[in-house]
Amino acid sequence: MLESIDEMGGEGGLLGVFLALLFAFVAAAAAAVKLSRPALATLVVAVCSGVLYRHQTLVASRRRARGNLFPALGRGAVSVGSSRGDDILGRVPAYFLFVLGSGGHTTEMFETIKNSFLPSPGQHRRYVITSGDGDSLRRLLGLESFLDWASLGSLASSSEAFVRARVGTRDTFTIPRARRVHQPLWTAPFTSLMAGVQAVKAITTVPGQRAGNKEEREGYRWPHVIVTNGPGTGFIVGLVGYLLKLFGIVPVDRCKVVYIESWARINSLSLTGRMFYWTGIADVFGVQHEVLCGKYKGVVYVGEVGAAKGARRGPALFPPEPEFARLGFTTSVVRRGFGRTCTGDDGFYAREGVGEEEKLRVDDVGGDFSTF
Amino acid sequence: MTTSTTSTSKVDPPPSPTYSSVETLIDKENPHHDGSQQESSPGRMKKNASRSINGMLPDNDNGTMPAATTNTDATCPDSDKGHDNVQHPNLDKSGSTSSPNSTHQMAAPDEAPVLSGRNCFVTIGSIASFLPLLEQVITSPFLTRLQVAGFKKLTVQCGPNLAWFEAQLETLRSGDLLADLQVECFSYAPDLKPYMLECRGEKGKRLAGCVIAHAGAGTILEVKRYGAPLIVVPNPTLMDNHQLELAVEIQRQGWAVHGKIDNLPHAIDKILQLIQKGRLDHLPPYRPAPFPVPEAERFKLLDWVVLTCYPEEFERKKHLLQLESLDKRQVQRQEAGVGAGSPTLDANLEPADAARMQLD
Repeated sequence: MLESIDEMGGEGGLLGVFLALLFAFVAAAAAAVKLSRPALATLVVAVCSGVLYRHQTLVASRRRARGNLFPALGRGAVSVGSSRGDDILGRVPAYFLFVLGSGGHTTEMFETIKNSFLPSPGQHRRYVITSGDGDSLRRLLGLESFLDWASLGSLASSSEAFVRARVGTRDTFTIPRARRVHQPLWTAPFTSLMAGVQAVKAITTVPGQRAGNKEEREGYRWPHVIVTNGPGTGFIVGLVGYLLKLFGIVPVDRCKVVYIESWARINSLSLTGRMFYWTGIADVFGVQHEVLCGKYKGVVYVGEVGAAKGARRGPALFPPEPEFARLGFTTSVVRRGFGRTCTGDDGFYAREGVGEEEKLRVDDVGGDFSTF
Repeated sequence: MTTSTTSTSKVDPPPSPTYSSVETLIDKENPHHDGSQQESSPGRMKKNASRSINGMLPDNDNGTMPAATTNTDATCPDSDKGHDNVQHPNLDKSGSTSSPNSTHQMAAPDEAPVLSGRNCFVTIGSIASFLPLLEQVITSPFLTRLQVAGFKKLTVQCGPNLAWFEAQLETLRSGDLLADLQVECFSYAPDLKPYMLECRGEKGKRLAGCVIAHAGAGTILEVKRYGAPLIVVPNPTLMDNHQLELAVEIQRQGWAVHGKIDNLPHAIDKILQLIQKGRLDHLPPYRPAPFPVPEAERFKLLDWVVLTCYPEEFERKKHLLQLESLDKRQVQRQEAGVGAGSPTLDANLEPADAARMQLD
């Protein structure tokens, strides 16, 4: 209990906000029912302690997952996965829920998906699109056919079952916008509520392609990961997922929220990023620039995943970690910030005041541009 | 220990040979020198090479650097015309000794053709108008500096201001400012890729040009992907801190130039230095990144987060990782010759092997 209070305003989240909302809701409901004072007090206490307990469970499980997730706990660079082609997921059901905002957010989300895609039969990708965003839908169709084509080549036009057995399934879900451009702010809470209700449906609806037999339906009952990168709708969906977990509808080890801050955000977080950070509902808060690692505690540096693959800093700046290189471990690193500058083991990043030395190293490998 | 495996973690080994120094490049490719400075030119080359490493783009450019500390002679095929308004303190009178592109010009006729001049592409984006940038582009100092720097073509994406730009262009054409510079303009294009690729330098084919763009993240990423030298100009009128931060940061990272709207010619000088430093004239032909992404470079975080939803499965994989890291430490120690063949080491290896075989 004390730990979660300690974590308020940062990693743990503004528990008080939730409790206040809950209190108001319960009080209003109780007032409508015209309960007597002691009964009302008991009800409020019961609800609040239930919520607190559940929140505590969630925070503890998240901390445990994080602790497991970054094996080299404590500091420094960690390689997650082996480059020898181990399919991390294998055939387990993997249900991703991607929230697509408009324009640049969609571009970055698609790049992230391309950077992380591996054809596997157990995948299901659900894309949550805001209504009226025809451009994202069109580009999404392009992305999915690109994924098909890249994985299957000329066989991409085969039967649905064939494609599904190799690259998994996908569908879309449209929810209303949380707030349209130029919409008056006072109406925003109402439209957000409408969006929230639809978001509940987006998370709760089992994908049709996976609803065949009972076993499969169980595997894909809830999304495993909710990935979002910037739009306000993403925060709504993430919040809804968290509240569903809080009320016990969704089990603890589902609906993990991964928020990846935009590539264009170098020194500060976007509004959505700040909302995610201060409410603490993201299981993993990823940033694409290491500067942010130093400014915000508990965020994870994930590299420039929103940038196009060819645009990532060349291999010269992601050298293999000496001790892992022998066995071909991956060089893509996930670092954890500790409220100060990230310290990477490879020494290329975030070494303040390296100056000339760093530049000379870059030149030694033939210029960082020759590997574009 | 690690040298042999660097290639496994790279996507592509750099196709162009990496020269250890500039003079090696010159000596390899330059069969003969013009002018009378043959004896001293290797020495001079060494000096220039070291200067090009040391005289790098500073992080905070206060405009105090001289216009060209590297030998921009290498990038100006017309430098022997002797323009007065540009200071080149280390200008080599015999221009061709130091320029890589001239070696191509002197190459055998059936090899690479004569390299075309540099192309400049100006884009203001597809959302808002950016008239101040266009105003700066059509000024005499900028156009002169472009020509001096070896640019032969200027393409401008004007957005809503096409008519205005064309009018300005007409008045300029009546003079002789645009004698050597071909200027084209259009308002919008659905795909800017061909224009950006034109500005990408290719070894033996094309000199690197530059793209002058507003500070939009999508545009910046696109230019970066195609490998064209980039000048980012934040729009001061609709600027929020965020755009300026982006421009400053990417200059700090060293792969683009933060151009200020009131001093575009200076940005051209800086981009030339960048082209020198990064050897952007000698890039391989553009190839889109391979997809699916090679396993070594794949972003695996999402997969691991899914795996945390299956505790047993996760434990298994984590155990596997730990075994492998233990294994490699054993191998390291063996290689270092510490207690090779000692009973303890062998004993430690066995469980790892056995466990790995089991899990497989």
